[in-house]
Amino acid sequence: MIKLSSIRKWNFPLIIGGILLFVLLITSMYPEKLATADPYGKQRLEFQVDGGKTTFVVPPVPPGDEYPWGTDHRGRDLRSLIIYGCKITMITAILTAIGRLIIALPLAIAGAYKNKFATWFIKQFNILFSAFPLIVVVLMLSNFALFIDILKKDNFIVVLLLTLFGWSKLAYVLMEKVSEILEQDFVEGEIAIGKSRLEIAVQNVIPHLIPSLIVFFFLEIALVLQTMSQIGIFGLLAAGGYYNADGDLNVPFEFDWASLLIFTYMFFGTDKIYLIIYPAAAFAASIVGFNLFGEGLRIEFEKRTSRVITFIRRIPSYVSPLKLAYEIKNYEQHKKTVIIKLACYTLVLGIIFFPQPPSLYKFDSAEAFNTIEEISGDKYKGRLAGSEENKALAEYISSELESYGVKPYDNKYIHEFDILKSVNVKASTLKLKDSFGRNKELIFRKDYAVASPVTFSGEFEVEKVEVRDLIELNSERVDLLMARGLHSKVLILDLSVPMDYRHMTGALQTLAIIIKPRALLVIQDWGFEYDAPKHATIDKLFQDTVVISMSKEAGEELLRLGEPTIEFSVESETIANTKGYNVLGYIPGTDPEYKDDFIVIGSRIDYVGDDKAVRYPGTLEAGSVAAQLEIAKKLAQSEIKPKQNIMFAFWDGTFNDKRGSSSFVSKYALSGKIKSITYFNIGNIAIKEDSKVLLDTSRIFPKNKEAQEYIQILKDNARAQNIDLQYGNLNTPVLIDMTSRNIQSLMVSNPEKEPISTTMRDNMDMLDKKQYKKIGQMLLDTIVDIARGK
Amino acid sequence: MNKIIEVKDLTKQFAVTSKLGAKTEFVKAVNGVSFDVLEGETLGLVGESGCGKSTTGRLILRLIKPTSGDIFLEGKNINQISDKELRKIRKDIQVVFQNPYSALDPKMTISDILSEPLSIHKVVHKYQYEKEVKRLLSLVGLSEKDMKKFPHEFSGGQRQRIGIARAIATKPKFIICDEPVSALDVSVQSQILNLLTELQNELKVSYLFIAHGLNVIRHMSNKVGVMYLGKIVEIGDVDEIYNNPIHPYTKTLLSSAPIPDPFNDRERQIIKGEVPSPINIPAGCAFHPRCQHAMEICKHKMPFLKGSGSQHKVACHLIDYNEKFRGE
Amino acid sequence: MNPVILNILKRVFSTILIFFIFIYVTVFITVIPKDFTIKKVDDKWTVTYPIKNIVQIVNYNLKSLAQGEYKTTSNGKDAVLLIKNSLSKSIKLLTGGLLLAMIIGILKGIFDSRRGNSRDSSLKVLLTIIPISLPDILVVALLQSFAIWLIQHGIKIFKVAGSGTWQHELLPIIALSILPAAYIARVTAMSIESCYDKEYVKAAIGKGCSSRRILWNHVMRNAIGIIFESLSNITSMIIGNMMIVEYMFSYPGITQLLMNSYKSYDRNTTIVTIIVIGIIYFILDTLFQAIKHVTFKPLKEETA
Repeated sequence: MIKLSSIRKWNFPLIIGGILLFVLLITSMYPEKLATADPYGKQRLEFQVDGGKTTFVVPPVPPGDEYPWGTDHRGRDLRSLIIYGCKITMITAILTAIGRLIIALPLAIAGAYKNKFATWFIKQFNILFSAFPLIVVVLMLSNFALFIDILKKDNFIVVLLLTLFGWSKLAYVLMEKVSEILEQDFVEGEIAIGKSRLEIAVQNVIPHLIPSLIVFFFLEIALVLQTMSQIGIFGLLAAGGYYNADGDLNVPFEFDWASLLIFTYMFFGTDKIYLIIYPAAAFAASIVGFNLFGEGLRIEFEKRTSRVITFIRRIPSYVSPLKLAYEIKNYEQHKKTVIIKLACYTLVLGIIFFPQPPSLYKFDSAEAFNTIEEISGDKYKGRLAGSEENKALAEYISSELESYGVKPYDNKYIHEFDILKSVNVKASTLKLKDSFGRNKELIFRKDYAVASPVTFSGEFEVEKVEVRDLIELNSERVDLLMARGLHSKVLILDLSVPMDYRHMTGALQTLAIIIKPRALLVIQDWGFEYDAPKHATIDKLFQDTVVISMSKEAGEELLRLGEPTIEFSVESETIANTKGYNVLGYIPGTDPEYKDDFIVIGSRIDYVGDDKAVRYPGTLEAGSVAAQLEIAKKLAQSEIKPKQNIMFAFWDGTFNDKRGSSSFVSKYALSGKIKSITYFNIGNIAIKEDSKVLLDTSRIFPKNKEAQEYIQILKDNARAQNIDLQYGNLNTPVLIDMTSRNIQSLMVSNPEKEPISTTMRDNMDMLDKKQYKKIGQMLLDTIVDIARGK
Repeated sequence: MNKIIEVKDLTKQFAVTSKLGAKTEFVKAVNGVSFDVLEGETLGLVGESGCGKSTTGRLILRLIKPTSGDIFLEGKNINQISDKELRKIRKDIQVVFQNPYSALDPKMTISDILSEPLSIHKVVHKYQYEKEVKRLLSLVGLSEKDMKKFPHEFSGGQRQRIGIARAIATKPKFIICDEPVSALDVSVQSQILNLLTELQNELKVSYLFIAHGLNVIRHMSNKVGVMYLGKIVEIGDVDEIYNNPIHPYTKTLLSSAPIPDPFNDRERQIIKGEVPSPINIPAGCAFHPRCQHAMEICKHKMPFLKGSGSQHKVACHLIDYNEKFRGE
Repeated sequence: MNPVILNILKRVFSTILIFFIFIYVTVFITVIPKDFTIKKVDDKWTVTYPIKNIVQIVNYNLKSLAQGEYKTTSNGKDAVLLIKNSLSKSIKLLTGGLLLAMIIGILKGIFDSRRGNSRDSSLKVLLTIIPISLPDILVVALLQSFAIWLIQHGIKIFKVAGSGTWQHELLPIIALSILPAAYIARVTAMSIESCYDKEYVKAAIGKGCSSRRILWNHVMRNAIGIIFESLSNITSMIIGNMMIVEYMFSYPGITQLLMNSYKSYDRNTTIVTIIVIGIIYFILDTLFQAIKHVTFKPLKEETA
């Protein structure tokens, strides 16, 4: 029985500190188990009308039912942010402490041995960087290109700076401790038997120093955390983010707690001060934990009857496999220890190598590849929206769905909608003729691209115009321009040099509205090696002018020819007033409470159409369709009865102004027929050049508990398939439609470094088959798990 | 027989740092000490606390750097040698410390503690360490089961045995025993002393035996030196000194030692005054303020060790001036 | 020369030397341009700004500073007046905060310590460690929310930002005092306890001295020296604290001036403010060390 008096003897700091550290460890290792939301999800501006009352939800949202700790000013759930940020914060602090220790220890030992340089250095450094506040040093130096170039990640810059400039206090206390050890009597004995100073330092001092070292280490971590909290609040060290997303500058990708404090300067002294209190409290908890643990260790080590040190020294022999072997050999004598040790080993190995249960339903990639071949084949001629081929494609898909047993939505698989205009620029030639009669033929899409949906041919004089001539116009200058007779020429505009974008738009507007040349050759810095993607925006500014975009290299060639004549033709196909064909199939849910709630999985079936002489298979896009079909098939055939409705949507017309998804949304969602949608957009998966798989969950409100669960399931399955799923900022036109208060979407995709999608290279060679299988399996398992109500 | 150790005019001054950091005063801990120790012989060094005997031992060991003077090991001057050579020399000069509780690294096992000197001075081959350690332990009367234990698992007497084992591990020529039994119980003291004597016979090693207990010194030493305030005031064969002390201080010291014989009536010499501070050593003969027989010359002139008889030397003006005190 | 005087001269000289190094390093750090880095040019690693140039700029800056160029800020305001004002505000904050910290700290320390009772509880250690572990931003944020809560309930004593009246200074002073108070409490408690372990206190108890007499006569005398020694250890923490407090309360003290001039690229004012802050540090540190030397008399013996 535990006596009250013996409780008093317990080492409370050690116990409580240990508990706090354990909590931090668990939080760092398994944040997804503790957080209720994905940290990237953002609560957007929302308003609800209830009876006569309108309530606004504007980030930052104060703590309440939906967001227990409130949201930050971008709408992300603060509690999830703090939980996810625990790991990186702790790692930063621990690395800094280790760095400081590495610098401080040798200097401290040298100083304790009365090495004049070491003592002087420690002392002066201490004074210098106490007077010059550490925070100021770090803040000033953190923006240096030197560090950014070497270290790239801002957290490492923090580690470096805090280490380089903050080691001296630790060195000082270590030096005192080592001196203390050196003054003990046994040191004389060691000298007397003839040991050198180095030998004494290594063989005698360090074993005596280790208990203190451990204590100082933990205390130092606490100090580093203190400093980090101060740096965060000043926010000059913006802990980066390297994708410029959404117009948000410097979105912290890693949510270390210091970064959470950066934008709080707007809220000092206001009622939004919770934005500071929660991260600061997280810091406080961790600092308290480390301090208590360190002090507890110190108390423990100072106890003369402490069993801790003996325990620590015996650890190597406890875990030594050799010793275990020896004990097993002499099993009779060591029965108890052997059993305990073997049990521990099994437990640890079990946790690490826990066998994943195999997927319930196998993603048949062979089948999927067949589908891809079919869809990207010649038959559909590049799947241009509004074409007859797309109608055939839609019919193919719907018959597949029917064969699987997927039900038609709203009693039909194929949902027609109007398409005003669908354009395919199929072929073009461009020849440059210089004044000497030399010809240079440019290659369509390699050297230049056409952004206008016209059919056209001709030979023209070319004249270069300068941006500066086209802006800041008055009537005089306009007259000058018009006098040049530019109207009948093909004009060259060089936009490849860095310039103010206002000048650029001004120049283009002048050309479009005032001058209206026959054609406009715009030289742009394409920035990629291969072909221009076909879906590059069809220019809308110019009415009758053909707009040609030319790569920088080709443009330079052109300019070198002086003012040649240019012979070019464009052949484009325009289908007007036609129809697009969405395919919608679903598996009805069983729970009446969810009868108007849908989980929708979507991909695009249309593509850019073939060129006159070139096939555009669109394999990557076909890949997402094929994957979706496979998922639909397996789910439907599994006889699983999901709680909520699961819909499979195949969008047409996604390259057009009014997309298929938009028509779906206005018809069903805005009308109220569907109350809420959680949308999974399957992007191009498994591109050979890049194996990073990205997940964008920023459009899902953190308070949307169900969607957050789905995200979690997806992440678990990614881990099961050994897929490195990371957050990325992904965009596709469909998401514009599928984002609103009631429609929350996420997207999985493989981003491409160089444009591959909608170029000729978007073919079977670009598909990473192994990765495709894994991702397909991951998605299938996720949908299955969601359907089964896991 | 040759001299193992010869010490000439060894002095050591410590500076006292005042509050503002300036060094204005000096403690003369050892104030010109000379003696030699022959092979196989034990020189005892006796005196009150603070007379400088321990400091002398440390100086010879070069644990402290002498302010001036020379130390010769088998004729070689070891005062000015490099650190590296000094470490090699340590093989031959070893020490048994006073305090058995703090002389051994508490975090090392006995086996480690005894293996260290073996490995530093390559006394035996690496694989023979264990065997040698066992041998050393048996020499000092401990069992080989004690090899894996830590110092704090032993009693004071046993720890001192370990300290002795460590000292003899390198097969030294000379061992300084700095009050090796002062911190031990009386019953244990005799065991340790006997051990030391046995070892000397077996290993032919010389001792400098520092103590303040007169009986112990008498038991252990061949020769005795008496120290007062950093100087040797009398030195000679042990029986000579004890039976025939000449220096007033020596006489007082010997007379104050209790003799367990209620019928032994002796003349007690009483000295007046306190031991002066070693910062302010009196001019002339350091003992003169307390000496019964002090003369005028004693206040001004410092007496040197002079021999009346080849081995027996005294530093006192009385032997020159007063027949009564002439030895033999 | 008298060794005592020599020693003092040595110390003064090294302090002045450090001071100059401090100024040089300050200017150096503020002068280095932000895109200073090392790039590979023609297969050789070169710096984008040759260090010689930087040193030249530093020396030039130093000269111009010495000639009084710091007198106006980059937007033409009178820098000297600005510095003087913010300095006086900061000093008000510091003195108020430190005094309050001493009072609270010592009282709490006395309360925390065992005062000779033998109930050995590491529970008490908990109570001393937790206050010093609180990050200052939390302290300030909590104080501000407390003040806001009070205001929302009609009690308008504290003002949460800005300066001008004593109400503005109240909260910052309290905020500034809390962490030093926690340190002082801890050190006080520890030194009191270690004093009680000493033999002479036990002797005094044995002789029948009252506990208050013991506390004052024996214990506190020794503790005061240790308290000031620890204060000099946390001087830099106090300044860091002040930076946070001034920032979060928008209190126009000297560290606010530093941050503002840095943000507006006003190099001269930045340098001067850093130097002034450095001076504050040195003065504080020397003050604490001096008081410690006067009240605390350790014995030292050094070997020659």
